Amino acid sequence: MDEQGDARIILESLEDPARFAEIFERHHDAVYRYAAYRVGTEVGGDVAAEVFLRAFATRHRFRSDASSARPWLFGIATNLVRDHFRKTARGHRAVAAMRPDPSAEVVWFEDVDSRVDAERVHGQLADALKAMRGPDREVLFLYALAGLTYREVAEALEIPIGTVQSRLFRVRAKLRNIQRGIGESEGEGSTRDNEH
Amino acid sequence: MSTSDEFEVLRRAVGQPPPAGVRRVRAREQLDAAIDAEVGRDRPPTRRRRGVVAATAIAVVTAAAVAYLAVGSRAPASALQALAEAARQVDPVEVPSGAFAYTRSEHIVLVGGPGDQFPGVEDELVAYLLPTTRESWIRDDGYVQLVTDTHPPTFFDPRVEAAYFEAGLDRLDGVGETVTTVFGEVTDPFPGIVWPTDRDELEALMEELIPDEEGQPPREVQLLELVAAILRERIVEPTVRAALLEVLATLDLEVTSTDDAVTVTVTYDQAAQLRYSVTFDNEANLITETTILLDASDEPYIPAGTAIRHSTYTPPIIVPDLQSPLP
Repeated sequence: MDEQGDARIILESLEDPARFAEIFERHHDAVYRYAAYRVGTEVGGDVAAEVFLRAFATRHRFRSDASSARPWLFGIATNLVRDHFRKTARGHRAVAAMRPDPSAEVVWFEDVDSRVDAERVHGQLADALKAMRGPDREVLFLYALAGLTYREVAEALEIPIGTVQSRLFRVRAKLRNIQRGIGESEGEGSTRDNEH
Repeated sequence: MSTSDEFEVLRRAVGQPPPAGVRRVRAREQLDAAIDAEVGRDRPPTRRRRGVVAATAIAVVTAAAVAYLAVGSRAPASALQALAEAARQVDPVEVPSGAFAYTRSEHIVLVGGPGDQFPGVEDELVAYLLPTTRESWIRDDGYVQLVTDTHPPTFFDPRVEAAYFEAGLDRLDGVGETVTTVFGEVTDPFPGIVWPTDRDELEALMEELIPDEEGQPPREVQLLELVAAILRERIVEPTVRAALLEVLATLDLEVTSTDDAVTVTVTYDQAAQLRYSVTFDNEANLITETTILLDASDEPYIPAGTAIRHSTYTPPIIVPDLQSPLP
């Protein structure tokens, strides 16, 4: 994907608004997944839709020197999620919404594995997430689930990259304890390359 | 970086959310409307054929099969037309404010996964069938109550059965338990969509909602799955039900009928030979859905002819509260 082109497209959309649809096509699914992780699929769909409406309405504020629209879009999404939590006053109950939909008609074939693990860790994980400070939790979700880099998380939340690193350090330690608690050995999880 | 990833514990716990599906279509429509408003053009929002309706995103798994004996005799697609005409004669139902659509349904789904979750089983993959009974109360504002009874699974291999109970997976599945789940927010898989009663308009909208991508089941299958998803556990106007059948009547589907029901079937290849059937009662309500695997699978072992998904539904009725109908 030509991430470098996001700025150009947004700039062009100031003259030709229809160009902004390309930004939607590039990033909607990732924004939706992030929002669904945070607030569940139903509200997540609404959040993702609203992200692109707000982004379109405020695109003149997009920094033309930014390499990608991702931090900008995820920043809007994070603000909308915060608003949602404020309105519903049920912050960490979103953890429950992340569980597989019990009304689903078909059980995905891989789900035994994930369900077993989820069953093992869910209580501890929920407790750990609840115990986390809100800002730590936001960094965690943007980095671990939305797949943003340190730099992109920093841009999305408008905080220094060092702050992102220190928050992730705390979060990583908590999750490592959970992993140990369920007997997983180091090196068992999937790996991930990342630009720091 | 190639060290272990502590965040994997989170990723594995939360899994992948389902595809955005129709939510994506709606989001794009909203954006297009905003774009149009800014441009000042007076054209309707464009819709892209990109949606993956959650219920049609069902990528049914691997494997197996046998002869499926459809009840009734082979009938032409005119059976669908006749049923559609009958449905158009059905009086529309007015749903009082605050009332619920109530449906009782029975389901059998294929569940499976890595064999290492099953002590003593050396197969890399194993599978079994898990039956449930469900009552659903669905209100227009998105309030949903589900009462689900989970029944003992059916196994294809006694070793898997023994290991299943040894590993306590019956507790994980909630076998023998009744679980009540309440959703306070929207669970409508098609939020905001008003289904046209004109066949051509309905077909055009349905075409927009099915994914147009490689690897998806054939168009006929997707449209049939979409019809089932629209009707499943919902009060749908008779004229819409009729139009849905009229759309199906245009497709290359096998149609069988009895005095009381019409069954539509399609056989296709999606990583395995599959046979998907949907049955409608004489008022065009959805009453059964079945997916059968037509080739045996070695691993996971699944005998030929296994119905890997089977659901039966009572036609939805309107009830005033969550206590109705009385047992």
